[in-house]
Amino acid sequence: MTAKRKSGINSDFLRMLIILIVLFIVAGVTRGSAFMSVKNFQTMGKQLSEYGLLALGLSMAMITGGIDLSTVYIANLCGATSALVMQAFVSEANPDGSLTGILIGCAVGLLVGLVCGCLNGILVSVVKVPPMLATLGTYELFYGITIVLGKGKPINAVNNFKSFAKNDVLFDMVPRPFIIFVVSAVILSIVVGKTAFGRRIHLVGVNEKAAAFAGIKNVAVITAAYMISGLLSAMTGLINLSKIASVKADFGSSYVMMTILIAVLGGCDPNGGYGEIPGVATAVLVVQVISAYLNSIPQINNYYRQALYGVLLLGFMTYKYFRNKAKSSR
Amino acid sequence: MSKKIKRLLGKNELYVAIIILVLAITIHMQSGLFFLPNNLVDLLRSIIVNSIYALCALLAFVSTGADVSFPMIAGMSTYIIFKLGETTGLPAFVLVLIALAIGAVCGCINGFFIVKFRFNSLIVTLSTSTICYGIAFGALKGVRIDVPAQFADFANWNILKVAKTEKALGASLHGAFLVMVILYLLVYLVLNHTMVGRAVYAIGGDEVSARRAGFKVDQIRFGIFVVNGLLAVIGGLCYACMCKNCSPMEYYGGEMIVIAAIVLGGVRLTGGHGSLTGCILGTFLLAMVQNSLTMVGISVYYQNVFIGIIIILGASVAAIQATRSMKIKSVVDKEGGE
Repeated sequence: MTAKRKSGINSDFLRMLIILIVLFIVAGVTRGSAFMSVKNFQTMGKQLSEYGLLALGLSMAMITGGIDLSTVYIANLCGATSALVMQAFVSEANPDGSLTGILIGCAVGLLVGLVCGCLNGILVSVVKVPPMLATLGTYELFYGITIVLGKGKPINAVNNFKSFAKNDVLFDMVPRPFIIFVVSAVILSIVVGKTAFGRRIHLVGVNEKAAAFAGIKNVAVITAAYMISGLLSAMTGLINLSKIASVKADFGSSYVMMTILIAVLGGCDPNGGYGEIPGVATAVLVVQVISAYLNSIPQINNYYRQALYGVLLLGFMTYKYFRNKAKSSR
Repeated sequence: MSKKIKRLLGKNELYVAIIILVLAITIHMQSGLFFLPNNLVDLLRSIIVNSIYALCALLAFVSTGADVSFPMIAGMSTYIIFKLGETTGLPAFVLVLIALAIGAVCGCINGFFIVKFRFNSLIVTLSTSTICYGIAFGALKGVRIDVPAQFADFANWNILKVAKTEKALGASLHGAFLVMVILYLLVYLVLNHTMVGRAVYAIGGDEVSARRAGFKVDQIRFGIFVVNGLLAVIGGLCYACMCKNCSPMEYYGGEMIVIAAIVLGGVRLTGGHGSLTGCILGTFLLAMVQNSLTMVGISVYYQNVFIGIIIILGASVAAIQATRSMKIKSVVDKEGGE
């Protein structure tokens, strides 16, 4: 593993990249201009931001040997609090929401995300609740708070904030949510791949006891990993708020499965210790391309996608199992 | 004597029972509506399905790890046989056998991947769950359908009826309650009085030791997931018959509350610990929170917040207990070594 890290490119990333290219070729050949259009790519770029950042956050938790089932609901909670703060700043002079209100709203949203992640991290590292259970509990809690905030109804975004995700930047071509995703992925790749902190979260994931004896402060490392996950979820919440113009407590509940699929496809080991961000980020693109490709074929019902994801996940894990087996017997 | 009390004090079940009692008395004092026959019957009715699911979750957690596939296995198989029953008119017992077969196949898939490749059971069951979801909604359209005529007798079978009074509405206990009681008796006998039952706890507690002790770990684990598939189907059928219709969407996401319930009841997610009493008590407590919060004037919007807090607190207490007992153990080991 160390040798692989030194070479800079890991095999999970490479494999995903190859799959992505093959998928593009298949989609381009079979669907032609319906798939290979600027509009389609823009839609894909916007769509993947709904779960791409969540998948990156989940992989952080997975590398430490945990899991984060609460990401989707952190996102919704942050979206809801931001929307409420922004609404509070609406006055007669600014019926569509003022700039300060929007900025404060975003800041509050991100802060809520950090706090949520911190709660997860403390439950996992200090109280030592199994990660699945801890995040299951907080998932229910965050979901509940979002319902209470909206009194069971969706919360609307102020008009000025809606335009944020709609306007395209960079030659009027690339949607902003996609840029946020790419920038986050790059920063996170560096943090996880090149820094001491990145090495620590891997070590904690491989063997928590050994990491503690090696002088690593497990509590701090695990909490930080979950806080990053919370922050990324909060960013997703803000993007969704701007894109969809409202927040619902149960928005995106199917993304829980999808983010796990992406993290595993991207090379994360559900038992912890393995996983690099570039692989996960490419896996996000792969899943988005599959989804968009299936969407472009009207005969295929949307629900088949879910079944396909399940088959993909099992199939991919089986493939990895046999590959690892072949490797270790060599 | 004191040893017995100590053992009792160390059990989650006792605390859950106390919480249930305190909560029940508070609700009754506040509203005067809790200890009414209709409310109690309603509560019993509302725990039937979840406590059957709780068996799946218990068996999975005690022996291996998470199983989150049971609601969708239940939803898909029930939906399939309801559709078959409508179109073909097969007799009820054939339909039930078909449903059980579907459940068993799903369980086999779970068991195969978990035993053969040693994959994380959460991921495997999550995958089968989404596959079932895709089949139920994609291939079969997944709309709401009424219970077919073959099951009408079972759907209308009530074993207890509380008449409507001026203070409270009427309520009835569905016959599925007996199904649940029988299942619990069966599982109780197997878990506590057979070698297989002991093996379930043994492989969850320490797999290597269990293997050395001569338990067929792989076969038993595989068997557990097949049994889980069967239990899920029975639970799903009961649910659909109680509602007198079946819509797979209603099953989706049902696993969370069940897992929460059994954790409250003292099942450890790390394996090897958990009891049937705990399952029932945990399910009952959560059903109470869901049913009775409105009685004391707490808005229904707060329901999920309460459930979340209960899960977090319950899990934290259990986790702290577990770490403490481990610390005591290591102290004893050290003293023994010296």
